[in-house]
Amino acid sequence: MTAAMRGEWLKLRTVRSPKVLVAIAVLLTWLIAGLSTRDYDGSGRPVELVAGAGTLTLVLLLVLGVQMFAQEYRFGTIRTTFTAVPVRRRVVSAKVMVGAAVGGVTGALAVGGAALVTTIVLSSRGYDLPSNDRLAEVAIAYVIVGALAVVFGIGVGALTRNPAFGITLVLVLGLVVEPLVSVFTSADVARGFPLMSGFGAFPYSFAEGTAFTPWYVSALVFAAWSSLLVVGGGLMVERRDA
Amino acid sequence: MEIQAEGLCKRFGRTLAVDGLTFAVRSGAVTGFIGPNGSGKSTTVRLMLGLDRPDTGRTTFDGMPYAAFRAPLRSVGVLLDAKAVHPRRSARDHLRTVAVTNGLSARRVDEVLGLVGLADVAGRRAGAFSLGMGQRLGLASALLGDPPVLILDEPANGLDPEGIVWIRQFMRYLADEGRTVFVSSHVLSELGQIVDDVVVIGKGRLLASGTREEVLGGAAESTVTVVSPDATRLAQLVAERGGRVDRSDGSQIELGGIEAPAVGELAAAEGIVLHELTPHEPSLEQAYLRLTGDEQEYRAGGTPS
Repeated sequence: MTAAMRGEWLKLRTVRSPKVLVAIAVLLTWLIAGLSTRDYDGSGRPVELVAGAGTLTLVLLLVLGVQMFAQEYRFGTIRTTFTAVPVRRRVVSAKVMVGAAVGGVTGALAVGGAALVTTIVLSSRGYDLPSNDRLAEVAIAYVIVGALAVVFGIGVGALTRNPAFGITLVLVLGLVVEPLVSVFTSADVARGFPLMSGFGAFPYSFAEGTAFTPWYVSALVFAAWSSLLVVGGGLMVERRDA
Repeated sequence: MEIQAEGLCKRFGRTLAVDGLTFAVRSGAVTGFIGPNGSGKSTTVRLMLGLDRPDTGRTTFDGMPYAAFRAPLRSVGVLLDAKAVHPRRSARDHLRTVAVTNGLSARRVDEVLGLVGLADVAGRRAGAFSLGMGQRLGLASALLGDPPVLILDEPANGLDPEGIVWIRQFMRYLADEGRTVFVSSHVLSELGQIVDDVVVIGKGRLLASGTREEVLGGAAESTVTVVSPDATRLAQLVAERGGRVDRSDGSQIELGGIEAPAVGELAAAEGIVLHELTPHEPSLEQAYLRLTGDEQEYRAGGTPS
């Protein structure tokens, strides 16, 4: 298992796109936090400036997760992978563990920088700073949601086996389908949708009103969806021809 | 290490791609796995490795299924699809991602890159490789674990003439070391000179298997080419003695069912002058064409006019 994980880690490190995705996720989170703080007028809680930037981190980590599995099918390397590690559930588990670790670290980097940028800009403008307790809560959410987002994406990638289709699917689902359907359903149902639960798992963010309370209930629902997708994807990978 | 495939079957929709294949591959020999395009060779190789799930049947390596090996690359080396690499990953990194999963060192990666002649381009992106370089990279991957068994699917595909000679010699060398070399191909000139054993399939069915001599003996016979100013009379005499005239072209005739020494003795006895007397041993191509005559999935329509 450790060997399979080392293989997955090396795969991520030896091509550019995962590194670029992680860098973009982190830098854009910092940028959005900085821009929101620049426009902050004192209304609302300062911690929202850090929490609100997390949505983009989640979306980019979903894309990373889809790529981790689906690109192996696109380039045909999945056969090499299964030849080297013929127990397929070991490959799926290794991808999930490495992906979750990368997602968690990315979330930590994103929230750390966002908190720093926000604090610097707020203090330079003379506003109150977010409380440490609330910042800690947001930071934990970033790490958990970051890890789960990659796992969610891995599940989608295993099911679709096509990166373009998988990425389009999660983007359309999260940014179009779920918001549209939520208009016609009760808020109680909508907050349990796969990606709405992920967006709702950032405490003190703009999605707070449409999320479960407390925030970690949303995180638990998002974890359930991510697990369901990975288990479903894993079963398909196990049964299908490579 | 020996390979035993038993009753392999695989259906894709309505197409029965592999139909009850049973064969054995022994160690210390190059076994050619031959059949026309679309006959099910690659599917069979994937079934043997568990990459495709067989409907029925199983393959074992010294009694163990492939999936039972903890570090399979140390036991079975595989070359499947040369283009199956991430195009932006370097050749060295591609091999490192494979090696690390089986506990193989980075030093071994550099060794096999040198062995296949890719050391100078190891840092280049694999997507920029030609088909021939990709095949060499695939072969390097197969050799990573220094395995006793090698399964190579169309290994000479895309190689230049020098590369084809090299891979032939390399396969022979590996078998002479006592390894099991199972190599699929539809280009018989790649295999004709080096195979010890042959497994012939057509439309997913086993047509023949055994040593090269057994398969050749059962499916093709030797012929004799004679050039003589009195070819017509010689042809008549051969026919009277139970021989056969396969082709006649003026002074040149092709004879079957009779050995070259017998033709020479007959000509001498009858005072017939010979300008040429050439025996032809049965070739793998002849045996293959005879065996697969009705089993071609895709056949050319004819010669363009």
